Amino acid sequence: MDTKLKKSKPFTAWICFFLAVSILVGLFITCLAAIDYSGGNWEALKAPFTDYKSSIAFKERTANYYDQLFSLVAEPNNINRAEMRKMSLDDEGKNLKYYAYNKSTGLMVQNIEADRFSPNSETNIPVLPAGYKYFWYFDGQKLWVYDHDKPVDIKRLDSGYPRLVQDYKYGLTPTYLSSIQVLLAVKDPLVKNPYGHSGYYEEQQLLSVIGWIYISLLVLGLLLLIYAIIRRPEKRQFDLKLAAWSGQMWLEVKILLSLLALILVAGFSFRVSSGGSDLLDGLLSFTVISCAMIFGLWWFYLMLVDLIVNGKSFFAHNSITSLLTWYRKYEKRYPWQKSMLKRAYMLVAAETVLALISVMFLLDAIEGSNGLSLLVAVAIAGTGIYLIYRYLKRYENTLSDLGKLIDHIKLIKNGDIQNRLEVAEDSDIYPAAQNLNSIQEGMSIAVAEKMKSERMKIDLITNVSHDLKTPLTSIISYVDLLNKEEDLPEYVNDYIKILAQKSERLKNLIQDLFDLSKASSENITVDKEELDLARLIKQTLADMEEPINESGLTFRLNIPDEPVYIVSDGKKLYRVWENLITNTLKYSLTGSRVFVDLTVDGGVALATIKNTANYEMNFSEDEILQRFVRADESRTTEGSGLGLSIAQSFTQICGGQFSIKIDGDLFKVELRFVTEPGGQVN
Amino acid sequence: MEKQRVLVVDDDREIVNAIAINLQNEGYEALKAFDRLQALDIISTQNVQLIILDVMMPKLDGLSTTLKIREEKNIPIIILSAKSEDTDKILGLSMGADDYVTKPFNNMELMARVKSQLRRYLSLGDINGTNRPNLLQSGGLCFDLESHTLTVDGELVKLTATETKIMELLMRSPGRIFPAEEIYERVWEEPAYRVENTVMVHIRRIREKIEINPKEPKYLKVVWGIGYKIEKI
Repeated sequence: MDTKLKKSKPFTAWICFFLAVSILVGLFITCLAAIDYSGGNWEALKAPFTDYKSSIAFKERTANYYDQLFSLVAEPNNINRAEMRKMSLDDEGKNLKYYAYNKSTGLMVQNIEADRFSPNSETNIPVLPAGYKYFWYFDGQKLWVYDHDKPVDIKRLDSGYPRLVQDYKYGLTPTYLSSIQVLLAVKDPLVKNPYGHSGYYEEQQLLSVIGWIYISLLVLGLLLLIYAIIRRPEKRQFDLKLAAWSGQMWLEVKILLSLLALILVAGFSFRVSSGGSDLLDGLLSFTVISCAMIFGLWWFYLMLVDLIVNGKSFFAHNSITSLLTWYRKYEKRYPWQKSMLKRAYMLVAAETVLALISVMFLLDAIEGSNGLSLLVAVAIAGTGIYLIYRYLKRYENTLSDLGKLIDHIKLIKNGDIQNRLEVAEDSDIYPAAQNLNSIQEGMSIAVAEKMKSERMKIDLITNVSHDLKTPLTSIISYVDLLNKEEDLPEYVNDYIKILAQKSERLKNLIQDLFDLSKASSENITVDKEELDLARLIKQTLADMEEPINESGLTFRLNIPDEPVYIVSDGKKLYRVWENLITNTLKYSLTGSRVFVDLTVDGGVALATIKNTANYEMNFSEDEILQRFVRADESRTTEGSGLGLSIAQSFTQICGGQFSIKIDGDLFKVELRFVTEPGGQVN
Repeated sequence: MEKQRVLVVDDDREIVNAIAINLQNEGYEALKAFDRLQALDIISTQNVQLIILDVMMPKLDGLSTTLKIREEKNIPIIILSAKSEDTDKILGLSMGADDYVTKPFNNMELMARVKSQLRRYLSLGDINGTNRPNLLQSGGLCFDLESHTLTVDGELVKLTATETKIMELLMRSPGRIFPAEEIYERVWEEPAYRVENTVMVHIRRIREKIEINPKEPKYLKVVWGIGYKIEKI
């Protein structure tokens, strides 16, 4: 209910506007026609509201009766016609008194007594019965028209008479005319004829009604117009609907219909003035004409709205573009490369056909010097050129979109998975672009998922290692208390020792796990400063002197005496070297040599540590870096198995590169850092 | 002499009990609290000389409790935490704590820290009173230029001649980083050539004498890749 009202509102407003404008334009046309019809006679124009007798219709009717009377006595040859004419005269009843007499033939028609018709000796004007104030009198030489005993100057243009009255009729000689006398008097006021249809009376009634109809139409039109102006926004909505509707029409159809409308408007506007002889007939045909005119005008209104609302597409939507759109839909059924090829072939075919037709019309034009054929030939040639233009334009767009596509693929390859490829919806590349976008979307979702799960894993490890620490604190504390107990049997002390060892190891394991998860999530603060890598390695080796000496391994150092400056986090790099050396101490062949080298080449510091393994390294470089992978796989020795992983992660967050090389029993770790040229340690 | 009172605050009862037993074994009187309100109550009613406080208690943030205690009392606070990051330590110390011990901790280490903090707290008056110009100080570390002796929290540390020289050099400018070469040239008074190892050995030995946990030194630190320094506290 509600929606229905809302829907109908724009329509109502628009209909009001439509009616208002139609009525007002119709009235305007009517006014123009009336002014033209009356020959500028103000009295005649006012007739619908004042006196019927001053109207042109009355004068025309009277002139018509006069003609009939005249011909009754002047050419009585056809008795039947004469009778018919007399009947229409008699239909007027008391409203019309007439008398016509031909002296030469003695023929006379009348409905007043002859003796009553005797011209006044002074004025030479007939004396009429009371109530007949208007008459026409032809005395054989001249036509007199009297209104209220006053002669009317029928030669005046604004009197409305000149085009009604002709002095000489049917080629009659003046001598013959002089024997004819005609009198025609109209009653005032007019009365209804109970025995027939009095034209005068009925026309008077009609005229007075028309007057009021016009007035009420004017009022109605104005009211509707005011309403339409108030409801302008709604009316505009319907305009948009109309524009949408007419927008579906091809340009060609619009042009054709516009031409028709132009013919309607222009053609009929010439004919507006030429009404019928009868007032009612005239009115009816006039109404039809002005309706057609108004219809034509509305058509132009529609076109105007269409043009304003639809703008460019007013012209763009034509049969050629529709054909092209249809063709595009059709070619979608084929694979891309096939449809592109097909398009080129189709263009060639269409151009050939158009050229042939154009040449045919051109030949016809030359042969018969036919202007229309030439026009058609030019139009067809123009269509051909337009088609080529469209094809090239589209080809250009396709190429540019293809370029975008290629660039975008490169972008994705380089890791950008955020930006979407934007291509116009009607582009040939659009489906491909859409597919690429959804691949990209899928990738970005997958990456996000992976990141999320990685983060969750790290969060889990962080939380778990925190949560593990609390019970472990209790375990370590109470093991320690137990350890202090005296008087325990020896074997219990052994048990306690094992507990102490293992809880210590658990503690280290948890700390390593925590550090690694922090480092690999890059969720760790890095304090970078300029430091001497050579000194750092020396410091670390010095710091670990004791375990190194205990191991029985020989360390061969090849570290430059001059500083090697890099920007990094000293504490974390210490952890890296500590882990690497610990690893070496653990897995080196007893009595073998360990080589620690540091070289600088081309702005890159390369630090290596090489040792000979005390076991067969039956794993790859990648595998050893996997978390929890331990070289000996037995998992019985000390250590978390995270040493190398931590070293790798820490090296990376410190801005270095970490790599492992395995060659037989040779195990080699390489660290690479970018050196700071000419750095100065504070 | 009256027993010194130490308040232990942690929501884990077993940990509190273990620490309390250890404290009693060391001859202290241990007071226990399991949440913030109990802790604040004991502090305001009893004479407490030291507080061991867990920062991750559910009902309160230990750090805010630290601040609250610091408003009124100047007693030493040792923070216990499962967070082992440097940033957490710095935050805890800057909030007014005197020491920071990460869980799981070593009992001996914790007791050593308690002892050291108490010694420092109770002998604070002495140090302040004898504010002599020939006394170099950083935290609990004191170097007497006259007698060439080093004390940690009031306790004398026996150092060799070289170690004393190194400490004197470092203590004269706390916070400054000395490269190994500079230390060698100024202590040994010889040109330095490949001395990193020599200096490091001495530094390590000093650390073992003055630090409670030499692996996590409080005073004498190695600045990796640059040199050595005494932390300015």
